[in-house]
Amino acid sequence: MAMSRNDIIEKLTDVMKMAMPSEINEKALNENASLVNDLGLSSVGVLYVVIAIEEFFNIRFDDVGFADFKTVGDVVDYIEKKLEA
Amino acid sequence: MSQNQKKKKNPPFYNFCYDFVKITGILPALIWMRPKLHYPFGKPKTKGGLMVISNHPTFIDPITVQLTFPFRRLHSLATKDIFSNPIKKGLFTLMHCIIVDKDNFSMSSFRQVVGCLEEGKAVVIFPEGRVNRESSTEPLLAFKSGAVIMAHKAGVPILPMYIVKNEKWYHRQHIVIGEALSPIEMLGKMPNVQELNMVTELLREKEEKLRDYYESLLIHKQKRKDEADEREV
Repeated sequence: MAMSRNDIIEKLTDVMKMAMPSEINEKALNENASLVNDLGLSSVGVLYVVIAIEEFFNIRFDDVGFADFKTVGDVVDYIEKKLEA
Repeated sequence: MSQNQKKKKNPPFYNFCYDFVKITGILPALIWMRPKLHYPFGKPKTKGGLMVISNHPTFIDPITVQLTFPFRRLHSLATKDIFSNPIKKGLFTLMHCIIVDKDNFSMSSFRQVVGCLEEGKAVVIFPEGRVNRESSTEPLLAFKSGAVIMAHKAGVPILPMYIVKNEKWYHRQHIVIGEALSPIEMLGKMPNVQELNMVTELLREKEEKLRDYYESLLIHKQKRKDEADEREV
């Protein structure tokens, strides 16, 4: 089933809240927010989020480096692309 | 979707070369290091998938860990800098090293490690992330949580061990083996980042306790020596 960009952001927000309940309080994530600087994700945090995304969205990340994802928008783009494929 | 990604095939003679180097290298290494293993909590079970973590006081620690587990094939993580040319790449791959880019950790490294653990293999990680020559005198560096997250994903225990830094190259190598800890049993299926970091910190504390244990052994030994000297006088 195709998901809209907003649906993806909403679900991604849930994933992030689950990963870091104390840091993420927003209702929905801002696409321009930097994963490291704004959301305070460490490299392990990014790894954790990737694992959670794979489970929640039922997709499998290719051989991407975690530094390739700079903002929430990059992650949403990637999920969108994978869901369309 | 690439859900059914093909499993990466190992090069030919993958295990043969590893076994050959280990078997031929173990005797000189045993003579040189004369490893003495200490088990303050009893001998742990080391069968099946296992993540071994250790402090990293010298660059020969991977050899020390191999000596600690002479009957197991151990996979270790190595930074991509040491795979700088095809010969080195081939050699280290045959020695069961998994390439890791420290600056941009990739999914393929992650899947390779988790895959090994799920297949019942043992993987060695030095969670301090680099050689720390002061690990016997100064507090250990902050551990990176990668080991915990990978062991959790694969559902395998983590076994901490402490390698004692020798003052002289010919001194006997002492190794303290701790008790295994299972992140999946501690945290359940979906922990958050904070909880993973908490287990990482717990492992660091366990590692420091192993160091304290070894130091207490030294103090005890010194006391006995002093008593013996007094008796002689």
